Amino acid sequence: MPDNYADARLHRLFAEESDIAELGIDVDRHGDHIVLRGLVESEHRRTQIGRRVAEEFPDLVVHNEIAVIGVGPPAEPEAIS
Amino acid sequence: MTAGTAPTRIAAVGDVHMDQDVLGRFRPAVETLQDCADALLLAGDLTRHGTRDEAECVAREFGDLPVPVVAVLGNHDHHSDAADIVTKVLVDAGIIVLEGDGIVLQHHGVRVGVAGVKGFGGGFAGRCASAFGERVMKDFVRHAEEAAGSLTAALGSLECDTRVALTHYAPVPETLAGEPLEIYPFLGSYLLGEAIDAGRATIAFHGHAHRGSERGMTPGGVRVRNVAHPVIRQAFSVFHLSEDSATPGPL
Repeated sequence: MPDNYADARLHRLFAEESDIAELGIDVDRHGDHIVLRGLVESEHRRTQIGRRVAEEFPDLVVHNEIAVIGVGPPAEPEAIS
Repeated sequence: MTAGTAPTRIAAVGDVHMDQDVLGRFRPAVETLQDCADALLLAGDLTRHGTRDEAECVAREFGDLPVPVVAVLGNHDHHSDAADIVTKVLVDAGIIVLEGDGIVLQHHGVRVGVAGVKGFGGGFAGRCASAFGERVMKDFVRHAEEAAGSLTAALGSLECDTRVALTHYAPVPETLAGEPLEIYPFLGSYLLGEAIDAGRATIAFHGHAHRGSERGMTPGGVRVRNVAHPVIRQAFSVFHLSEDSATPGPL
């Protein structure tokens, strides 16, 4: 399957597979390497996406650079006047 | 609003995508909300798939808080065709859920009106979808038009000092900066911006655009803030609405 179609299938898989349901994950190909970037709400989701991509592309090296979003207290408030 | 009134403090976040694996993450920050905010706005995509179980996670995470919580639903919250159930679970937890209507919150004598709607896509002026051709295309555009129309009506119905618009989809392209241009029509609609201007809101909050930018403005000069969690990268953001920002007079 050409890379272009494979990438399109992967983006739809991220959105449509119920275990993932993520619309904001970027996929970059670099030869035999595939880099995943984006932000998710839990470590479980980050790991799940990496595992699923490795299943889809067993011949590629998957670099999972997806990060979990922080939930710290807010920075300074913004004044709206 | 009287001279010297303290600012109304609004906390806002969207796209929290709750499920069992997220339960408890936001709770430490939101349990102390009263220290920094008078109300919390949730800008849609509260769940992953819009199921009852996920809605119950939202209820546990954002229910029973020391300040009023006002929400709109997002596209994820509609995925299981159970938006009514999601809404009921949230309402039962004390969360105010808006869809084409509004609520006036009173705080220290100041009336802050919040009008909310999910909204929809369609794109932005000069590069937007039109109600032409196939039935499915016309239905797509009509849904966006109806959402914007209900937001205009909801803003107009509020008797308050300051009007706030709350949507899931974006009303302006500025807060989408960072997203691929090709998907802008799926992220928002200029019709929402037009409604916000017509309704003379002081500020508009939205989510949906995870890779977007925080700050924008409508053509009519209303501040727009993208509070999607992946954009703000904190439990919520806080905005102080001063008396100078109050909506001047009735519509």
